[in-house]
Amino acid sequence: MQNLLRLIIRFSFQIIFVILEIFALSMVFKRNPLPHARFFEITQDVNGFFATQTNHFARFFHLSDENSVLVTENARLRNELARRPLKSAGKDSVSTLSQPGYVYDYIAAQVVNNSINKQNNYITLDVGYRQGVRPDMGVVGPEGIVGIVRNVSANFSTVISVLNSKFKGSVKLASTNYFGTLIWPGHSYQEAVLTEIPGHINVYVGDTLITSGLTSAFPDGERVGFVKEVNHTPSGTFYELKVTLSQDFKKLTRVYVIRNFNKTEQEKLELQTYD
Amino acid sequence: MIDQLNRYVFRFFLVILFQVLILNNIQFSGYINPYFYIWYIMVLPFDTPGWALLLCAFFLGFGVDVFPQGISGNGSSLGTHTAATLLIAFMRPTILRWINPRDDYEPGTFPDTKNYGILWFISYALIMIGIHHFTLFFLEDLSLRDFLRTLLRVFMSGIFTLIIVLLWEGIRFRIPR
Repeated sequence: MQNLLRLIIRFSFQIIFVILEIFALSMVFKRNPLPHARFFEITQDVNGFFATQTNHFARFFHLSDENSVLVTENARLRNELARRPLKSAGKDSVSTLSQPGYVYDYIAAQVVNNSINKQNNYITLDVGYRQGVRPDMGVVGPEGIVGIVRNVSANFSTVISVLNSKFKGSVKLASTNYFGTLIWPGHSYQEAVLTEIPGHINVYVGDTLITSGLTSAFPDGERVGFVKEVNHTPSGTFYELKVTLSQDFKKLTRVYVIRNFNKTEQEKLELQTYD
Repeated sequence: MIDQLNRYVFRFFLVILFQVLILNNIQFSGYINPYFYIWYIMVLPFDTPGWALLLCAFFLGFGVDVFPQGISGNGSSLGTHTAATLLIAFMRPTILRWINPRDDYEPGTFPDTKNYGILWFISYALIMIGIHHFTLFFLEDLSLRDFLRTLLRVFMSGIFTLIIVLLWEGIRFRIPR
């Protein structure tokens, strides 16, 4: 016993190191999502508070830039509104009563924390479940898609940015409707890669890319970017398109979280089918 | 004694705030993010007891991990800074032994530029920064997907950390000769 005690005292430096390091590494490699998420909820509110304070200050200097972006966005929305046919026309009264008549709505949010230079980038927004945000909702900016909500606390939420190796988006070519998966190779904040577009169709540099609407996160037709470079995979069966993202992540300030009212219903049905 | 302790506590918070509020918000380019805060571990007194060294490193790393950039903005999982800082604190006595000057360390001095000169300090800082950044960036990018690019990040950020550490030492001692 005494020997053991002496041994412990002698190697106390090493022992303390090993204990603390194991604790630190277990945080890094934590796979159990629940306590992790709980921890996030607590710290996220604290973080959000700090980030909001710095952001209030920084925002002041970008007012004119932000205004011009908002004005162009407004103009685009007005145009779209003018062109859109009345969706509810022709529906009978029963279905309009049971449903709101529209599937998506947009929650305006402010970016309070954002990074573009890491290999996995995340964004923090100043809206949380009190404002109706839930995990897995899509997020779009004034110029294009931004990411997907990951964790939500009372008043804040974190978003997996498009600039993240975990991001996968279903995106199609506006001209031909062929869809593929958008991923981020991690080189530049302006560039992503669209894979799985079949090699037999014609793709041109400058083709517009929009969301496919095949996942519940984004409705059909949100802007994504443009084809920058047309490459084939080694086998030639698929394209590997370099994409210029239309959203400039460096000046991201105002974004919209997309709420899909049919999401639960759709996912429930799909789950039943796959089982 | 109490005075000195107060100074280190004050310095602890100062270093964390400087790191998370200023340095983490500077984005020089895709590769560079200096991590100046480990300077705190580097210049702790020689006679710091081992447990104090490790506890300092733990809370320092955890502080940087938990602050705004640490959770989401950083893109790194919680604990990366803690693990990397702990490692250099653990290795500090060994490193100091490796690079001790010919006439050994004098009691009552600190491992800084004022006491042991700029060249000695650069070699000391390079080893510490190297180990820290290497651990940090590889934990951040667990998959080792792109070994060379991560290595480039280690290198670029390391250089910048070194520059800031040296500048800070210069300001502290008005560039000793």
